[in-house]
Amino acid sequence: MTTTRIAPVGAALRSAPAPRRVSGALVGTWLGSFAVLAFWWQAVSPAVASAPGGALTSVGELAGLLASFLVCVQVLLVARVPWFERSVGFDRLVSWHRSLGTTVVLLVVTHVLLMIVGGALLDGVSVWAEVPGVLRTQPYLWWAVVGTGLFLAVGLSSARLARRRLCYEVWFALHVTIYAGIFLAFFHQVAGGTHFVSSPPARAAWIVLYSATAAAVLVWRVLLPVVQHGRHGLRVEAVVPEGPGMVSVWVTGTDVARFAAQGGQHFLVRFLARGHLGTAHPYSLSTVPSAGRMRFTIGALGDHSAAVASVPPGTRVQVEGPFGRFTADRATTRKVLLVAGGAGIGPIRALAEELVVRGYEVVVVHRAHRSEELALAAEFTASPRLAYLPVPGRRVQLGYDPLAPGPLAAAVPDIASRDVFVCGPAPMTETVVRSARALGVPAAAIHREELY
Amino acid sequence: MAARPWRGTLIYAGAVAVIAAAGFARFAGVQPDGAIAAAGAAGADDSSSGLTAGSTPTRAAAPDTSAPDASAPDASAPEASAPDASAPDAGTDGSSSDPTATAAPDASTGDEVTIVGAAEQTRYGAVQLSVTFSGDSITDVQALQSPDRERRSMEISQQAIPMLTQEVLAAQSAQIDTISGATYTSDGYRQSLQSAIDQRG
Repeated sequence: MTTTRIAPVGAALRSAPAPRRVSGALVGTWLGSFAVLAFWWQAVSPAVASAPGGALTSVGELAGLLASFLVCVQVLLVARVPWFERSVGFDRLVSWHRSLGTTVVLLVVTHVLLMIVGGALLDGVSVWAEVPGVLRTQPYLWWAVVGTGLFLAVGLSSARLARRRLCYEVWFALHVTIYAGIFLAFFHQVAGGTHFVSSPPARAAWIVLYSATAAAVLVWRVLLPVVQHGRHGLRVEAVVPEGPGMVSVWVTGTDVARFAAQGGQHFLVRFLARGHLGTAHPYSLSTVPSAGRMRFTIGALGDHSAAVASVPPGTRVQVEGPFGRFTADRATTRKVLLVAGGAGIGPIRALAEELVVRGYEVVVVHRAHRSEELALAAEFTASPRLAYLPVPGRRVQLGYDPLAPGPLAAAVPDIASRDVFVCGPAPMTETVVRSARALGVPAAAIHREELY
Repeated sequence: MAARPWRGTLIYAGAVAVIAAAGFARFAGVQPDGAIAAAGAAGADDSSSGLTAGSTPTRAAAPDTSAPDASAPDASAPEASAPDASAPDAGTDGSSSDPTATAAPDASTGDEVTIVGAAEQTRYGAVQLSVTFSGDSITDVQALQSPDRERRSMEISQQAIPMLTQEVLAAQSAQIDTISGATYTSDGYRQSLQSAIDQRG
């Protein structure tokens, strides 16, 4: 598809945006789902529909097959597989994981209902008599019942309403039990699922799919973090206050460069200290790692971010990462506008460092409610390649929004010819994206990272 | 990444639509059960005729798969068919008079007795066995009926029944393991076998 856009002055210099890459993960998911459908189609005989119950159970089997395929996809998405991380990005992977979670739980419920109703019709008994009947006769069905219970518990605890009320530790502890749930549900599929029992190749393929998923989780979520932890021996060196509600945590370790982290990326950080063990938080780098050091600048957004201020030096640190595609690699031009709000200054600071080193021309717009909150401001030393524009003040006091199209264009007149990177609270991010679009920045040149 | 609150539900709705469409496409034009049963009644008889030689009267009396009550049509079977006089075992006479049993004692040699077990209904069709005893041991099991309501049931039956028979000849009782993937057939098989053993007494 070709579109003609009225290019603002300067936009002609922009290199053509990279064509939107179709993610291999998405293609794989579609192909896999289609393969499951095709497998069901060729394995099922139309004659099962001679009884209405037969048609219902058969369709229920298809729902179950799709659910158990998608649950593997879902687990793989968050298995920290490096290839997925690079091609899709951690935040999108998590977003897809959450969406598919809803799909899988609903499909599991559909499967259970169809199997019970269809089975009751086939056996000519009531729905209530059917349940104990199949539990008695079908292999590993009790295991699957427990597994389904875990699926429901995990699904409900991750629903938006519940998630807001649950603290992270409880939610996470519950969430990890899904591995047990998947394991328990697996056996009734291969031992009782008519399609797998009557087709050894299909059964083998299914076992390979599940084994590979389990292996990916073990390697990238358990083994590699443990190995890395031993190799880098990361420890807290110092915790430095940066302003109201903001601290920087300096972390030292051997061979930190091996992480190959870029400015703008984040790690999942766990402090091995009382009160922090249960949680790994996504914290962004606020410098490009160098000389055996990494720095994370953290805003007091939640209980744990606040408690970070009291983590004693010497505390061991376990990290997973780096994650994120909010990096200099995304820039499509040599001129860049960075907009930071609140704690968003951390990744923006690291990104600015990386961009300047690479020879980009950078303008930083730093929003905060008060000038005391302009953390890390002193680190932006003006140079021909770097301009730093602090914009403190609440909108009600200022009487206008400094990030609205008018004021933004006044502050950065050549915005249309720049890439725009924005990191901060969601409403601010939205404002900047809208303003940049209104001022002629193409969508492909706008890069956003929301604070967690 | 902005959260996509309803994306998962939308994918589910799409999946359900695809599943329903696949179901309709696959099963469109399939006749309802009654029509199949009526059309298939003759065929069902044909399929079982090869299984047991010498049990013709029993087969004729065997309920077709659509009949839920297995014992009703058999009431006349033993009288009509079994050469009772040649049965040496008094016990079988006793059991054949039991109105609920579908016994057809039918001895070919002095020591051998063949007893037809009850027809057990499973969700995929009936299982009915004829069991040959020689003295106290089980020497042969033939399936007079096996689940044949659909092609896959027939395939499963063809695999499972010989395996079950092997198990019976080894175990000499109805205490046999379920064949994986043929749970319903195995259950029906066990029950029909047990009824035959019970009749033998």
